[in-house]
Amino acid sequence: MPPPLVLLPLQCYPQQLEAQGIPSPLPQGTLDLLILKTVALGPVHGYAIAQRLQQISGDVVQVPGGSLYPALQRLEQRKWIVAEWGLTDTGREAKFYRLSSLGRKKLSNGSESWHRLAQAIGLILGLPETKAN
Amino acid sequence: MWPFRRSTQNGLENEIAFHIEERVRDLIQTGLSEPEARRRVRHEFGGAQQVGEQCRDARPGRWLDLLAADLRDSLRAIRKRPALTLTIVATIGICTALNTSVFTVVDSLLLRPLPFDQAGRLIVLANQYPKAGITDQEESAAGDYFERSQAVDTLSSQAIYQMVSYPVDHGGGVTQVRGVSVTPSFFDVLRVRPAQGRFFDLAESEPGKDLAVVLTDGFWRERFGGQPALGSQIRIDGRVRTVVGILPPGFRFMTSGARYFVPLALSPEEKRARHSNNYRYLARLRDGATIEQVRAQVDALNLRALDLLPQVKHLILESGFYTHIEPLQSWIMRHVRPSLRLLWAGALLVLLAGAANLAGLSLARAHARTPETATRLALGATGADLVRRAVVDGLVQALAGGAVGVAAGTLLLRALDRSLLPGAVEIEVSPLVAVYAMGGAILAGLLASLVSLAPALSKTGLRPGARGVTGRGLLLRRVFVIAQVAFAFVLAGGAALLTVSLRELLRVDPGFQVDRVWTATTHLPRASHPRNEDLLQSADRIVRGLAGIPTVSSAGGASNLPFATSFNDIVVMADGYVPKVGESVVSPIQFLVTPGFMETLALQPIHGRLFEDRDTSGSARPVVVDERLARRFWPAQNPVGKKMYFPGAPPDFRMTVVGVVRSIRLKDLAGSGNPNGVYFRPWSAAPTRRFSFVWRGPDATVPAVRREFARLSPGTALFELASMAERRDGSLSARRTAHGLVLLFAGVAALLTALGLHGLLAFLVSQRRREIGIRLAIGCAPGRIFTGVLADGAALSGIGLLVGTVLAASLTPWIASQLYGVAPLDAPVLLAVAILIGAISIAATILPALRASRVDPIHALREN
Repeated sequence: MPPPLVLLPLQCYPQQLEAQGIPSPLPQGTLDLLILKTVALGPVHGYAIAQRLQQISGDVVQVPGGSLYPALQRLEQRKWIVAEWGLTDTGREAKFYRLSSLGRKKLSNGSESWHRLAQAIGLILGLPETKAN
Repeated sequence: MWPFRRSTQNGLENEIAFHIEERVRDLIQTGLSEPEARRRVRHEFGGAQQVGEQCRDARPGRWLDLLAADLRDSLRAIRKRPALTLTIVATIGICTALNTSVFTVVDSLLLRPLPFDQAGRLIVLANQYPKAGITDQEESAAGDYFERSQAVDTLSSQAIYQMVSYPVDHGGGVTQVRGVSVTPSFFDVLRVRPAQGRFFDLAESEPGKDLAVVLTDGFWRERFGGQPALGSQIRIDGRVRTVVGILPPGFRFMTSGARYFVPLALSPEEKRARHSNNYRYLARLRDGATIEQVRAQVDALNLRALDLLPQVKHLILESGFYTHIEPLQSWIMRHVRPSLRLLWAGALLVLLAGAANLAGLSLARAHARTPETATRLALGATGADLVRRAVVDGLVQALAGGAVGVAAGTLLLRALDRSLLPGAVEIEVSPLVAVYAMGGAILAGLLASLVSLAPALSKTGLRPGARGVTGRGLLLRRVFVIAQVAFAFVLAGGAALLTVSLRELLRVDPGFQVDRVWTATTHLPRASHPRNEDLLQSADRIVRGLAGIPTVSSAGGASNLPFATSFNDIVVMADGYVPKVGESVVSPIQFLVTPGFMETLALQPIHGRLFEDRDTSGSARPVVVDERLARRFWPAQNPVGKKMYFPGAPPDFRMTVVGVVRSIRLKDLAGSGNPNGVYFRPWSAAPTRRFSFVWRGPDATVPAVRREFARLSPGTALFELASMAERRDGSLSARRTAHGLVLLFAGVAALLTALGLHGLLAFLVSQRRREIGIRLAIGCAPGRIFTGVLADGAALSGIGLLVGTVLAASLTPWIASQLYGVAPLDAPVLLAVAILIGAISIAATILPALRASRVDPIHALREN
């Protein structure tokens, strides 16, 4: 099994990552897109977002808290998601996020361009290779 | 620190705590023990603190947090190095204090307008006769005013006035109080309105009808306790006057000492008089008019008026007569401006020296913090972060130092003797002063802390633990130390020149006795002395009474006293004297004296005799001249028996010279004032209401004289009672103050220089410990290390002294007018100062040099 994709804070400088020997993560904005999609499924708290991403991706995508919460702050700041304190099923207080109409627009734009990019990359990577002599 | 942030912050912490708890619970359910689960979560999560910081970075307004962090860092750094911070704050504080006090005076006197409506349009007119030696005369003639009031349309209003000092009697004894005698137009010129009542009308400016008085607010409160006073009567100058108006609070004209205003009532003859300059002249420019336009109109009128005086026309023309016209403020401040400029330049030099010193200190700190800075850079701090940090450091210190300085400067001002300055304005700290002083402090602080970035921003020497000395920072520090030495040299040179000037001045013999001579003045009121005979009787009674006191060895009276600010100079001619080509009329000082006056001052006749009792009456008109005037009129001849006359006087009016005395310095020891000399006439020839007298005797005579005076002259007050030595010192007090301040500036600058030099060399030595250790280890003599460091310091101060000499040469115009008996670039004085500054520099270098020569090679080499 390949190692999981660890989504790191997006504002990390690429050079610094390379200096620390960490391969470049997914393209910028990917984590935002994944969070928006998860939140779009219904009001959800931070921990649940991380859990769901991991579950749905079959443990391929892992989001450490150090990446998740800054991203949530940023999205809330941009008013793409809206936060509200509420009670969980177990009766604990947690911050629940839901999508704003602006966030919905960004999500649909973002997923469309992602699909196009993924398709394009797939096409390119799917080209037959000539065997080396 | 930022309360409006707290809620988000707490929310985030709660959110993260929730996340961690949920994860821990899930992990426990998969079978992990709780401690194990927590460890895993911590590892996964990657530090809650960092997450918090990253989230903060995502927010706008982040700079506020950064600033707060910098501020915290800054305060922490201060706690860590209190001595260094204290030095920096004290340096800024001292420099700011000096600048605050000096600039407050500059601002109050020169920059802020006088406290009148549209004060910039107020002008002064004063007749000058430059070729007769009269260039700083303050007054005009009444005839000028009455003509120009009609004819000069570029002035919207004009007035003449006289500063007066009269006995005031309002129950509870007589006191001498100063006031102003004014034409009714005076208040229009100043555009002031009465707070109560009214000002004078035209009828009240006629002799006999001038029994009105306007009081200042302060005088009204003092004399009437703030009770209604309009219509009340008050005896001034022996005449009962009715209070017609009260001035608004805060109004002051020329001096806070002028407490009342009375109408100036002139006879028809006085109103026509020309070149009898007894009145100060004030006017207001019409809107849109310029001084040049006024000058053109006045010049034309002056020329025409001369045609009415055919006998003296050529004399007046030859004297270079013109009416000087100047804005009121610049006129009032003309005498203090040069010394203020000098002091301001001095204070700025101290500020520059202080900034240079701070820059040096900050560089030292920057070097000390090189490892810290390097670590910061390695951890991802950017250049901008460092600059911000340095700015915060600089600001914190500048604000602290500036606040201390402004407070200390304000206190310093309290110690200032106000009597040295023109009293026309209040000396007070204005917002501009605060901006100037704090601005100076902040600039100095910022400059210093930004300079300290030089090593950090240069590429070298920033490896953590680097021990190298970066070239650029060191060069800068050397430059700063050189600059400090130069500034200190200039200031110390100035102080030394002023010291020599004062010493030279005090050595000057004024030409008359000063020791054991006492002086006082009184005013003989018109009411009790309507005729000249009354004046003569009173004067005679006073002088004889004083001379009769057993401890008084001699006494005499006069129209004026030596070391006064102004004298009466009157054009005079000698029979048979033909002015040489290009030479003008002669206008010496006229001194009216009673017999006994010149004897009390120990003026000995070189030729002839002094006045005797018989001179007070009769038609002989004797005159005693001083050597200077005698040389002018009768070179190489015995003046005794020669005749003098006033141009324009009746042809049979002749004065006969009966004696000659040595030249004396009447105005001050520097011999400024009238260059033509003095002539003495008996006081009885033209008795004055202002009557001064002198006596010789021990200190103990003062109470006896007071008692005797009160007995002899009831209804009059004694004022300006002082020893002649006090009067002499008073004539020097402006110089003394300037000297004292420049000395203080020089001391501060020298101290800063010593600190700066010591700091730099101590730092160099500490950086070179390893190298010195190696040198010593391979056999270098400690003495050579010692002299090497000393030579380093000497080279810096030598260059500084050279730079200072060039600077001093370029600043000579600033100090030339303040010097006496010494040139601005007097070689021996400047050499002595250079040696002194050099000695201070060497003294500052000795400690680091000693430390260098005592480096233990073993320790030095092991250190790394």
